Amino acid sequence: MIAPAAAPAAPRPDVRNWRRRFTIFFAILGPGIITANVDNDAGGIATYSIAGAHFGYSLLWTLLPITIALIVVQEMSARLGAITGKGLGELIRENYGLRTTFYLMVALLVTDIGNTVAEFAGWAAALEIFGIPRWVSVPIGAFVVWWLVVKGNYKTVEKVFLIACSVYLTYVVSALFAKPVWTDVLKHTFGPRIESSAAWVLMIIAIVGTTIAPWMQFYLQSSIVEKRIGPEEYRYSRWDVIIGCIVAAIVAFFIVVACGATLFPAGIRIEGAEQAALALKPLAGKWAGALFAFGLANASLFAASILPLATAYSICEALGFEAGVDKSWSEAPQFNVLYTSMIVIGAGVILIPGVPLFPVLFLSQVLNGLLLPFVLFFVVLLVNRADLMGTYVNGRVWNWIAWGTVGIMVVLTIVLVLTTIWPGLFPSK
Amino acid sequence: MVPVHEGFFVSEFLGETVRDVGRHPVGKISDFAVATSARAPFPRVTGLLIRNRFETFVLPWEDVAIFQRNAVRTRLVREDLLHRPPGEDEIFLARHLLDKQIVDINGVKVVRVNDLKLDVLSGDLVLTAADVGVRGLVRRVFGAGITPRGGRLSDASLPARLIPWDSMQPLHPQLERLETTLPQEKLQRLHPADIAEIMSQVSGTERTGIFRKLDVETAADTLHELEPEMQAEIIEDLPEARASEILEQMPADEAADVLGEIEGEHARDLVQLMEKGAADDVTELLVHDENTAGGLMGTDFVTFPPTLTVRETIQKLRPVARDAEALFYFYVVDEQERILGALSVRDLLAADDEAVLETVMAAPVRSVTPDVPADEVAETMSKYDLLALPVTDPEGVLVGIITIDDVVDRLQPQPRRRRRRLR
Repeated sequence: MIAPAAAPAAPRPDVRNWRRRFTIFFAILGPGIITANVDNDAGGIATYSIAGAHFGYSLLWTLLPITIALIVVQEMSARLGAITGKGLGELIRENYGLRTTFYLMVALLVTDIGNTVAEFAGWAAALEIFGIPRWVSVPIGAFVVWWLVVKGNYKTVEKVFLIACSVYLTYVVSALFAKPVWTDVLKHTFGPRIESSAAWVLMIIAIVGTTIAPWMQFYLQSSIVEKRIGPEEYRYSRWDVIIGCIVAAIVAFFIVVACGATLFPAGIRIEGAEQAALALKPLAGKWAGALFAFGLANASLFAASILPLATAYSICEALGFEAGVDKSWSEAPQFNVLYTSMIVIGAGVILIPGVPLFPVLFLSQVLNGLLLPFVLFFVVLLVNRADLMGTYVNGRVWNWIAWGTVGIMVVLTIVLVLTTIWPGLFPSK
Repeated sequence: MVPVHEGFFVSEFLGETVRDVGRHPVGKISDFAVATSARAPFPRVTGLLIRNRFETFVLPWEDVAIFQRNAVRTRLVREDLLHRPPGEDEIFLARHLLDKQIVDINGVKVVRVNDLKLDVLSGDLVLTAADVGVRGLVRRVFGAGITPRGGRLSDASLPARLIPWDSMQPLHPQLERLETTLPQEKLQRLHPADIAEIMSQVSGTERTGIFRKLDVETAADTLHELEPEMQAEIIEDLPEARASEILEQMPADEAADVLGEIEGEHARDLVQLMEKGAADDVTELLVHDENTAGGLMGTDFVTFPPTLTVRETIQKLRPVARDAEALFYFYVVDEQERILGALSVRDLLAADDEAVLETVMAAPVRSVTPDVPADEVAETMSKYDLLALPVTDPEGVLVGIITIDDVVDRLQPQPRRRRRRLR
């Protein structure tokens, strides 16, 4: 009798192999690209616009090191998720205890509420440019955000988000309308220049703060876990992260260029992205301004959909509360309270008459910058733990860049706090 | 015997200073070592892990004289303490259980441990429950001592949720040895569908840990409830002997589906380890494309010769009924295994005891060949309201059956299992 050699068992898996590899790659695309792009949210666009309007091209060089730092940081979060199969909040709690986690989560909540307010502010401002008053646009925006999450499932929502990512290309077009002098642009992109005014230092901190935001680490890692990306699929995921970061940096670059080419020479001071859009109209043409505003509306709503959800999930997962959009109020009270109140506060603050939005926007960015070093600190510690990561711990060069980023962030943060307390620390020119 | 209060929480003692007989501090409590107890069905505290500026060591529980909040004393003088370093395989409450996930067997879900409750039982300090409620959370974050108007906030006004030791299943691999005293695995009490649900909510290490605790039969049933990718992952992680044992236990078509997800060589090895009959069935099924009748069908079907009486058939059916995957219909075949007719259990019960099958069966029988596309199979089954559809080769020889379950699973792509987070 012939042994059950099971030769026929082979063909099916083998034939499917290349096809599978191909589908894996596309199935895995998403978390990295989405996270990096959401990063260019209302606050981000405002920050880059102000950087361009007030400092011209002179801050463009910062985008290169920031992109590298962004890639390093995001890659670590993605790797943590893929190898451990756990969210960042869970990992911090399991390894560094509940008290640490609790305070970190409180800080994350406060920061993200600020960020959500900023997103709705961006949304309202962008639509006001098109003549839609905020008492119409904000409730609609809040409803869309709520509806997307409650009615959509992760797969379709992710597709909607990926499409939203492509809308960011409007900024490239806007910048081209502005007719920048490309030789100047290139010179500043690769030629660093340091200043010592308080405004300059605050600007740098704001740019770093908006580009690498704390919630991103939590969100990216959760999405990786959610998509069940494991060690084998991880190499594809790494490309997802790298491509996403580069795309996000390119968008930021063109926003700075658009404002630097037009508003800076004209000496126009702005306080937000919508003012940039308005100011662009006479200087670069109606379309440039409209595209700029459209991009802002898209980015704001996109981020407003993700922030409350990502925050509520991170907190519940870390503190061990039941979480899930498909769960009722009695099943998951903490989750529902967090999620709903973030949307309500985010949208509600904007509707209060006479609320000054600019300080809210700027403050939320500063809060990001303050929380970030702590989050990064834990990410780097965790990613270096051989008991969790096995052979996937950081390499030496990666560690240098990672600790370097954390170090720079801590220094910038201390400087920020000092300049807030003693405004005269740096001579304003 | 140690004089102890009843009912402590681990968090209340972590960081507490331990003093010797002369009230000299010897260090702070950083953890509790536990082991299975001979006297009680609870893990027993065997020592305190003490940390001071110079070292970390285990103080045996026998050497603890007083154990109260704000007063933990050893009966020895500082100089007489045995400085035993913690062992590699020792189990510690804070390190291995606190803040980790456990399965709440009664609530059927995965929860995180906020605090651990210790009680005194026949002279031992034992672990009796895990606190997974908000009260434990507040106690951990703000300490037990906050006193707004007299009462301890963490004790009174907040909802408490304690899971007793015999209703929780720890997931940390290190804790497996604590459970050897239990008569029966706690997880075994759950329905396989619930186990699968729990498994899809935890990370890889914990998932494998849960699966390892199940007996072969439950493991096979649970595996069936999981998503295909996860099935493959789990089988790949298991030792081959155990994996093939579980695959043997599954209906051949499900086993073939799982094997189809696994890389070729490994799948071949697993089939080779399986018992011959089961291996043949699976091998046969693996040649078919998954989107055809051959890929959908199972080989668990029951056939009888046409000349059998109804009484004889029922007698023969009894022992088979227990193991068959789905006994919607059984089939009447000739000596060459060619299909002649079909009968339902209802037909059989309604028929005369002495009637032969030939006369009571429904014929001809609607059937498909293995190369028929899956959509067409589904269409046929829904059009004629069939619970099962036989698959035959071109000569009419019965090779398998497709049950309604097989089709529903394949053609309704709605996610069957809730995803972990963002749905």
